[in-house]
Amino acid sequence: MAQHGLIHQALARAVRAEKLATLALLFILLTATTLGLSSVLASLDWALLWKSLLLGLLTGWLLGIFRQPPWRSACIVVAFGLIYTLLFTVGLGDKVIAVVAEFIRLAIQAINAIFYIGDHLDSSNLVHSFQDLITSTGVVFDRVRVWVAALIASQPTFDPVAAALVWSILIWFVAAWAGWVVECRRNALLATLPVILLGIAVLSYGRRVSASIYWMLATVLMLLATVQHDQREQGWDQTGMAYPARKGRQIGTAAIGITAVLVLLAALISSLSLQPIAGWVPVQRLPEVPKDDGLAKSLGIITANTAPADFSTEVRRPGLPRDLLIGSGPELSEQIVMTVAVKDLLSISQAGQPLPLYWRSYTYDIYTGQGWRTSATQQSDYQANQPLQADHAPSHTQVQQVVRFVNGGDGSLYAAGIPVVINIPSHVARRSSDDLFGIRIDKIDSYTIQSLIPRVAEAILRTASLKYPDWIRQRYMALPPEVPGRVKQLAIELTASEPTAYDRGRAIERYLRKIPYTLDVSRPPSDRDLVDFFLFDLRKGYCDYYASAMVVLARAAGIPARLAIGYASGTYNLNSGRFVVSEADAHSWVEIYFPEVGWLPFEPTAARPLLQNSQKFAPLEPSLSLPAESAASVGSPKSMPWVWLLLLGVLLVAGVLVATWVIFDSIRLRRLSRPLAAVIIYRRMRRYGALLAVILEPGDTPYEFAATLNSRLQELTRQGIGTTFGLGMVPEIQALTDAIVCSSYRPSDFEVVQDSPILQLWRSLLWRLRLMWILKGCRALLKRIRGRLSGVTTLFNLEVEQKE
Amino acid sequence: MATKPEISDSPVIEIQDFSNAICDNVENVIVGKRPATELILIALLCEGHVLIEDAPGTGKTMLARAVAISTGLDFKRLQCTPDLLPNDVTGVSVFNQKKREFEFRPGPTFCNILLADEINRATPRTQSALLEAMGEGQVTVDGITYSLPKPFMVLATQNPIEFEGTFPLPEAQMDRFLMRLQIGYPDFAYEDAMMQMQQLAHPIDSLKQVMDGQRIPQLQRQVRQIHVVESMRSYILNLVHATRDHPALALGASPRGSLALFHAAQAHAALRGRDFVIPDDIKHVAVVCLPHRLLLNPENILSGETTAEVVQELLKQVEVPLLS
Repeated sequence: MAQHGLIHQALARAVRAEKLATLALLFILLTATTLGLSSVLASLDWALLWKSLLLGLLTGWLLGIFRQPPWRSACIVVAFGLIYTLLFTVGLGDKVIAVVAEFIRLAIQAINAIFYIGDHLDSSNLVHSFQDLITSTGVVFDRVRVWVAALIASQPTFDPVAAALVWSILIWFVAAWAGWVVECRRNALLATLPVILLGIAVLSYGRRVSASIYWMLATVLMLLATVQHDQREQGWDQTGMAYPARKGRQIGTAAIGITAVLVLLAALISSLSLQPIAGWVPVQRLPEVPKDDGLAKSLGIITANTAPADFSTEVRRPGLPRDLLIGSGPELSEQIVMTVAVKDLLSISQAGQPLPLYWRSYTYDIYTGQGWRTSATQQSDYQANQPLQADHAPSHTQVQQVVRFVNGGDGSLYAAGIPVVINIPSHVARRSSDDLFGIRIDKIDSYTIQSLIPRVAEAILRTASLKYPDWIRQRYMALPPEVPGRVKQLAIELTASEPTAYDRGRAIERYLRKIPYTLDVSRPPSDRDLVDFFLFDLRKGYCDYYASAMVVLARAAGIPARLAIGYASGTYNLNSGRFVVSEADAHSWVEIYFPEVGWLPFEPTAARPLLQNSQKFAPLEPSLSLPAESAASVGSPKSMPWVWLLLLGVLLVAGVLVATWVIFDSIRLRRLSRPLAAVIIYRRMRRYGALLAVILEPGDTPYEFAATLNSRLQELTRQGIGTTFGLGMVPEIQALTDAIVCSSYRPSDFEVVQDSPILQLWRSLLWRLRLMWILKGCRALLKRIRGRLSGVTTLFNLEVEQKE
Repeated sequence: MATKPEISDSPVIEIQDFSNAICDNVENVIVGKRPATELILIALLCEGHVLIEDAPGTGKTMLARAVAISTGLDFKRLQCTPDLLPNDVTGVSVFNQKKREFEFRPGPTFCNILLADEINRATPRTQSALLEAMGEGQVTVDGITYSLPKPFMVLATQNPIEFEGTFPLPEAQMDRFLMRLQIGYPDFAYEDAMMQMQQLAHPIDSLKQVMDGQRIPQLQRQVRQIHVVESMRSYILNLVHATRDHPALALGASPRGSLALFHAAQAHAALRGRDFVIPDDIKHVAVVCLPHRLLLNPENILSGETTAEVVQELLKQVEVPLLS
């Protein structure tokens, strides 16, 4: 008999030219919308959205092809969407794989342990992986919750991870809806409604008329034509009307023609371009001043009014610092540049080790893809000992440095932290009042400078808020649109499961420090983005690469960061009590901004030690006391004994597998024709009969088998197993057998489409049969144990008797 | 949808009622032999003939007579002896002096139900005359063919014990019988009931007709319309082919055997009130329809096996298909 059933029918439905044309058009529509979206969305990888779109569309369409009811389709779409997004968008997939790998490893170990007794099972890795997964998931959900809460409280923050999650799921739902509606409800407008609304809403915020609007219009019109024609053809087929095959071609040509005309009209009359599509969506005419729309900002939508930076200052360093282009490698020499003496060094050190201090000269905020630039600066002159700014700052401590140049210096001022007062005249360039670019001085042998260096405990950094001032957001969180999507995606993956901005910075730092350090690198191609080339192709480099990469990744993860150049600490000479800085210490690093604290240096270069913020530091300001719940809220994993975790994991996996199998099995059985379903159910019944020790012969007819099964059940009930429910099964088994026999041998039953009672009867019997089997097994086990015990006791009795 | 196999066609109800009425009526005469009665009715509905192999005195004649009376059919009894001639079976043309022409005097075969007692006592020539009449439904005497009445069924009997003075039916001829029955001795309780029943008078004397026998040809046509799905056909064929391949059998069932199973299963399904054949029908009739068509190997004969045992074994082993 031919394979009737689920797949055959579905294939018959799917493989028609109109169907595939519809699918292709939907796909183009969604792609166009997503492209339009991604031109407006700041932080998202288009490849990610595209994958989400494709899979969502296929899911919805397949559910439609298999004619799933709406509620079930919705459940499946939601479940799959969430799972896909969590696993692939925010990078939890790796953690899941790690857990599964550890589980397999543990299972292999267990098997080994059976043979070589004495091997002890090391489950700590599995426990760690599992805990890691749980905490990561918890952190991701927490981030979304915080983000939503901030949104509701009208204080929106931009969290790229939450935005990625939300957009991915949104696109998934919209695509799945389109696929399912087009297939099940045959209504193109209804299917494309969410897509169009989404596209228009976002594009109108960004106020950009991109080509994607025209694509959207064209595909919607073509979809309307295709779907209508498909329905018409099906109606003709059903009524048996003959129609010429070229009808489809004629209608198609006409549709294409009309679409082309309409789109052309739309393009030419550009001021009306949004009206034809958005007949029922009011388009907002935004004022020239960008509205402070929290939602848009928190979703990362860049408005069109981002003012480009203006560069007209003399202090400008295009390309990488030290006047060297990446690729030629800096020449390192042991020539000493300067020595620095820090007053009261020990009071700000820990455990006798001097605190690493970097001597910064300049900071850069604009990343060009090939190098760094600064925004426009204002310059002002200061006299000797004139304060540049206030001499306190929260979380900072004042430090005095005496810098002595060997060769008079290069005109730049080097200092750790925020300069407060210098004992020589200086020329200060600032981007804004809080934002120092650098300081130029005359060539001189030495100078003394007071500056403020950050000194704050990690716990406090973890409580820093995510509300950044506008100037920070505009300058230090912007990335050029040419930065490839995979860099942004990497940033999201690295930081998705980190709860605070500080942890995210550390995560990026940790990741970069794993890349090997070398000075022998080739020049990056001029058409490639520098950071993208370093992270994915080069995978080795020196400080300039590390620092650039970290700044770009941090910004993509929603953390304001800037590049700092200057010199690293150098070597501390115990005799002279000075830091000796040579050319080899020329360095670039990263500074990250924390509100209420300021700029904090980070060290992504693998070759250099971390700049630790020790927790041993006492908070400087008594007002900055630790909020009570912050320490606890840093996702500390509950320490469950490993046995329970393992059990939970196994149960979860088993539960998911069983649930999936049950759902698919019931769908399959329901879709099968009656005779096929009857065969399957009968075979299962025989299997359970075999479990209950019923003698099976190949030549048993269904009624004969039912009779033997019933007699066996009665026998078991007489023995006391399943007394409450055993006898009630007998008429049901008889009824089920009747149904099976009718389905198999009665021709008039084959074509009946209504729901077969076979499945319902079987379901209700199944559990009782299983219960019978379990009870029978338990009883047999008990009997055996009792037998053993009695054997042992008789043995003892014998011995006792013998003794007596 | 109902869960019991429901009767949807009224012809099946008709057949079932027919069968029940006759069986109930016959039980007034013969107690505890309902299965045998049903099998005889199956043969009647299939236009087949029955070989009853049984010890004397078990009620073979009584059964045949009861069935005939219940259906109002014409019943004749033929006692086969070694001196029985073929013309005694078919009929003879006799010269009528007055009319000066030959006129045909029909023999005992011109009836609806013929009980040929101890067929193995008749000579082979007589046996073949009877078998030929069975097979063709007509007799030819002196070049003229006379059709036998419809319905026509032969119930041949033989005693399985006696071999002295008998002409055993050749195996090839056994094939012409649809089924081979054994009535057997009644149970204790039934024999007791029988004695009580026959204390004053024999119940067969007061037996009434309950069904019109002339409807039987129509019922026979209706039986042929019972559905047999492909899987059931292949089950029948598997059984028959298994008899041909069985190591203990020298001769398996012929295509006549497959047809016999086919029709008998249809009749059995109709008797149970179903308009489709299920494997249980086939198994039920296979035990009576197959064994007499099979021939054991000599060594198996010597070791005491019977074809009935072989058939039982096959019925256990051949898989019952649910779908073809």
